[in-house]
Amino acid sequence: MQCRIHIIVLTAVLLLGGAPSPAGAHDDQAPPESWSPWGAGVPELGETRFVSTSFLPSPFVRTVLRNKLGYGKADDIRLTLIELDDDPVLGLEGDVLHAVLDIEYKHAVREWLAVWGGARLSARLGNEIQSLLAQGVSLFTALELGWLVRIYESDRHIVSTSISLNNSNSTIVDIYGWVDRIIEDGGLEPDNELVMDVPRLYGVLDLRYAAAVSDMVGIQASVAGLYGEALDRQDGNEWSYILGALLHFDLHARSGVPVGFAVGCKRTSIADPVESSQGDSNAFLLNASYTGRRDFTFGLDITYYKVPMARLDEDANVFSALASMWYYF
Amino acid sequence: MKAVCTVLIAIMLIVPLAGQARAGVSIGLLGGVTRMSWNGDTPEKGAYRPIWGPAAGAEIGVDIYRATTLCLQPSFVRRGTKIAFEVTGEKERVDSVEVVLDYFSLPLLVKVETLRGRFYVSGGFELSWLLKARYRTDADDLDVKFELGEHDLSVNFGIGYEFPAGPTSIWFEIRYAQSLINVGSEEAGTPGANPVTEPRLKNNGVMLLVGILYDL
Repeated sequence: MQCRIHIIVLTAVLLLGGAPSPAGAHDDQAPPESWSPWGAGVPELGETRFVSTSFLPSPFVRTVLRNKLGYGKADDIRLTLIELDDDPVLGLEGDVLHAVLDIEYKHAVREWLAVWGGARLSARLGNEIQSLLAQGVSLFTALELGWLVRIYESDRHIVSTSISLNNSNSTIVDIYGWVDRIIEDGGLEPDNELVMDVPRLYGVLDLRYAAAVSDMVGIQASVAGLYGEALDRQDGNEWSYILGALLHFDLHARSGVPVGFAVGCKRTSIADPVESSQGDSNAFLLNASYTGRRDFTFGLDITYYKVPMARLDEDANVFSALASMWYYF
Repeated sequence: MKAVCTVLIAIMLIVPLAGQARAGVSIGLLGGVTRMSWNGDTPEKGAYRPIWGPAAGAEIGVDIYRATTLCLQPSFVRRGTKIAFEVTGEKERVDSVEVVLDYFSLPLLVKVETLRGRFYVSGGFELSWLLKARYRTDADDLDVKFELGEHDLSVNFGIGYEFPAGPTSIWFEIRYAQSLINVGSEEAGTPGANPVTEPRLKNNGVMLLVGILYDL
């Protein structure tokens, strides 16, 4: 407990001490009179326009409303129940589906500071009896609040940091685990619950970077440390991380075609109740977005995840398609 | 106790540094209401409902950068929750238990004004000491302070509006507070404790505050 308090307090000291410093670097400069939280438009560095995607957190201080709707599927989930001479003779198989609805509002308070709040609702279930039994059903709701502080910005580079708090609740119907525990205990024990509610609170501290390579190409990267309650109560509190990078291509810059693309990858160690992820997972993104306007964009994220899923010997292959709309004020 | 010392040292380090950066210092008073509850694990057939309470305190603000102020707001704050249970014959859950927690709290916040200078956002951490804890039902009113954690640590996010009036200003703020520490006894949160049986239960809610500041 004491250790936890110290970590949080020291983080506070660093942040409170550090929050003004990004702006403080320009302390002697006159305030940019032309700057406004309204009308800054889509993320740009110099002539380079960046594609909007929620795959990685953006380092740009903008006022933006974003919604996201998506669908994902893990094919051919196979769970071996009985093995004979290392050969599976009885198992469960099927597909697992998940759906996501996500909304976020970020408000640029100053040219160096934005605050945001977001809510997420997602669900996961098997599409056949076998996969329903094996992977159960999950419903996940989350609320996130955070501050984004720009540390440095030039025509070619931007570096930002953010601190946020994520408060979530997962409702998990675990049929397989429930039956398994009945067999293990020799009967139904009072603490063996079919439906489990798992509240989870964690904080995130991250560093975000973007650079303009040319008028058509940009790169983006981020690293985040997360500390808080684990999805599995046995683990108490835990540290997790997220690392990721993106490559942006904006065709509009040269050909006038209002389309942009992004490809990227991400590695995370945080368990995800929707994907039923249990450990380090990798994700690969292909994004296509409309880039013809400065105040509005929409795009499609096609993501492939390699996810270590509960009770499976091999990592599951998950494909998801997320449509998102971004309104820049 | 070490945590308290760390916070005090942090404050002692930050405030003088901040004070060197800019000269503006303001003092004031604040008051308002809290609408707090618990979130996390719920009792069987029960649900948490918010409880209203008072908040009152003082404020010291130091301008640390253009439009940015570091504020320390020592306050009395009431938190807690109502717990509603299913009762046979009733369609809705019935408020059956009230847990009232009185804290002395020490929020350390950064306030940043928007470009127009009236609206602002605030954020920071709040360390609190439990003064009094009551567990109330229709039949009982028990002191349960010894069963709960002595300290609480919250993260605060707020949005406010400030009316300047000469050397004084009046502000209104709505602030969301989410505790980071379980309400249960501190022994339950020690590393050796069983994380499976320790309930995840924290204070959270909103505060509606009004304050008056005087620029020194």
